[in-house]
Amino acid sequence: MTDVLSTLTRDVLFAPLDAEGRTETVVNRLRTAVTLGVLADGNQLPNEVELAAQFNVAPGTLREALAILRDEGIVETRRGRAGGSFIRVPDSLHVSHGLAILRSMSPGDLRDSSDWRATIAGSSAYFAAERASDENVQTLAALADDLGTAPDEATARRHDTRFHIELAAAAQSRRLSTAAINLQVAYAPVLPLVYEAPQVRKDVGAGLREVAELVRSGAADQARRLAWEIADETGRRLLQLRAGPRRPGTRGRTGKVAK
Amino acid sequence: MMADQDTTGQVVSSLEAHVQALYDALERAQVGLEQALAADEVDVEQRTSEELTEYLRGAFRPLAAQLLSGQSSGHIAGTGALVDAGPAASRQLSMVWWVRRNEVVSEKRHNLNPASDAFYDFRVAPWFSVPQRTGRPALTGPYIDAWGLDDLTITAAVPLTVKGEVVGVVALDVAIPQFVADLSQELQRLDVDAAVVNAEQRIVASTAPELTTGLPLTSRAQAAATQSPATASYPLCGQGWALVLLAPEG
Repeated sequence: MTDVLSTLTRDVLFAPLDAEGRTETVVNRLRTAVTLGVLADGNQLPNEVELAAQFNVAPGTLREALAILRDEGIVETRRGRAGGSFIRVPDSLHVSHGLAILRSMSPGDLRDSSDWRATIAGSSAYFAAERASDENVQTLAALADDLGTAPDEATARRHDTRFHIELAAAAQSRRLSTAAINLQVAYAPVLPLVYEAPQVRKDVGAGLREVAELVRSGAADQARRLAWEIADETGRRLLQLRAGPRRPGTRGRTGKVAK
Repeated sequence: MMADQDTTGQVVSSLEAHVQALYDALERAQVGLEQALAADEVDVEQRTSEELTEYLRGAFRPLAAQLLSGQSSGHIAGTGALVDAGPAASRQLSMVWWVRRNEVVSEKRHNLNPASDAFYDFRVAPWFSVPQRTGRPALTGPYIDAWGLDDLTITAAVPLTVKGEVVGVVALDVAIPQFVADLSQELQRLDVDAAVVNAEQRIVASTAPELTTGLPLTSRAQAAATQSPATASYPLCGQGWALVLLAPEG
């Protein structure tokens, strides 16, 4: 549609949908673009015809998706000379979008995505411990600390994903960093749900700070194990959130995370 | 067997010429843009980020086209201009960038929204911060440029000066495969394994099978315990790069 290239996150977000592009999928993609700030508050939405072509959906499907986003208060359409569709970011967006994405995944999907994220995090940490530059280590430590003290769940998600993408870059691997950026689109939207609790932000921040220190000292096996465990723990929390409140007498938490 | 001094000297000169060619191309673009900014009396402090980006896009496009299609362009994958200017309270980022893919030059947009999870914060990149702080050129990498190229690259940058003040940089990304292949070919002339390393002892190019581009000469885990495999080191250009000769394995 245009000869202007953009960054990978944007490419992934606006990639053509599979043969059967459904309204719900378009809604989720656009909402993710807004929560990640790729479409920012006040931005004008790209032309509808071009956007539909880019997603490979019928113009009618895109219009349906925009109508839903309008109802949710995320898209605002103004008439007149300076008219058009503009992005708005309601405060509640990060959690409500997180819940919508969480519900769109089956427990099996969620487990699989969490396993994949733990695998990428662990392997990135292993190679980073061998190959990271001192500058990488400094950035990692700062991002982990920022996550620990993040004032809200959206900021925590942002530092979490930036930490994992920096970790993959520190591993000097294009494939790992591409995988981490894809996860930013596919998985990061649900992270605000676990980061609503300030204590979780603090604990994960402290854990990732330790990963940064293990990378600094070149302890590859330990770094891999810890990065993997932290991602796995987040996966368990999300599975519990997805299951909702539990009846008394049923299993609450599973395995080693029981407290 | 030691590499003989004559050959080593020749290899050092050839390697330096490859790096110098990058800076020669970069400096032509730098001079072109600085002249345009002066001729048009652009006050970077007074323009909004959008206005300045629009100006840079128009002024740098022909320079980028020249850089990406002219002589020695085979070693250059992308180029652009980046500015961080304005009063401390409301500093604004502007960036224009072009890349060559499959012989076609296209503009590439980056996410400069600080509130975005995908914010490309070039202010913290050494290839931007070093020229901006010191007024000297920089040569960074190999590194994975997350949020930008999303691939392994080397970035060379020179300061962009307006009215005697550094407001940003003019930079280029090295086309790693071609550049590394050509450096490796120079290294083949030596009769021992050798590598070009950057200031932090990271491999740019080498003839040792396991030392691929981007890896540290010694891994972080072994850095303290093991002796460096380098037996001799010859500085290349002023950016901390060096030619190192490697001890035979075993």
